[in-house]
Amino acid sequence: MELTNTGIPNRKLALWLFVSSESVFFAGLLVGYLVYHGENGAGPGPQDLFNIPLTSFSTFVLLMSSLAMALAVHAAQQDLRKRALHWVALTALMGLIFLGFQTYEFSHFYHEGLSIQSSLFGTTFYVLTGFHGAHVAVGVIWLLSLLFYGRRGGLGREKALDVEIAGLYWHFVDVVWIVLFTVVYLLEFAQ
Amino acid sequence: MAGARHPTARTFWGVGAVLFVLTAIEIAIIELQGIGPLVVALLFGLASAKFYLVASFFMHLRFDHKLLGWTFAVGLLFAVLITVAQKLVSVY
Repeated sequence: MELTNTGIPNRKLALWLFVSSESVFFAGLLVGYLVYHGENGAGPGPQDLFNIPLTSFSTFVLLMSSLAMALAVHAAQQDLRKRALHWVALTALMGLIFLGFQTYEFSHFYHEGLSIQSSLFGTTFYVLTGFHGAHVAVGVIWLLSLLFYGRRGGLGREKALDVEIAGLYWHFVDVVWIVLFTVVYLLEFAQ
Repeated sequence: MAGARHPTARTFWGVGAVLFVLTAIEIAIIELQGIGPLVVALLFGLASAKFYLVASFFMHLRFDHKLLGWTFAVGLLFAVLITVAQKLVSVY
């Protein structure tokens, strides 16, 4: 395992640098959403469309997927090879459930008259949450590749760093949703 | 290098339970009437607490080399500055 002169594995530090830059990326998208907040044009606005109970449920799913991923990393580090595999599989499944809810939400909003070009609200909403969804999708693919990687001998101590790095990406995706759920959805209904 | 203590599975379950409860509180808070700006402050506080828990425990920053925390912090600082700058521009 290559280490930097700090004793941190190169790939781990690289992932953190990536996460740091992605924070700025999502901040830019969020700013775009906030700047054009209220620009619904003649179309539906957030209060007409957002289904807080549904989005809350998908938020719970994504949060708990982060727990599953943390347990996967822990299991790999403890050399509990099959258990790590099972937790990674559960994380991927929960990620797919979240994506399913988001797909339903997007299609429902579209049928209600909100498209990416119908208003500035539509553009900024779909770009912001769509990029997050794309990050979740990439994460699911990454987790599925981990399952393939560990298909014979499970995910043990020798693969723990690989699981940990995938986990860091997954937790970042969850942390971004923590911010988006609050700022985009909940604050809309704060009285 | 890494801290002396490492989290156990029980720690992760505990953090997961706290995240669950904090999210439930967030959802309940928006139903409250008549507390105005306090709702916004509470929501930001709860989101910050959840952010901290995921970053510290799930992402292991609490137990890892401080350089990783600083690396993340730099990106977060720019993210916050961009958001604040937007607000200032819109106000003025």
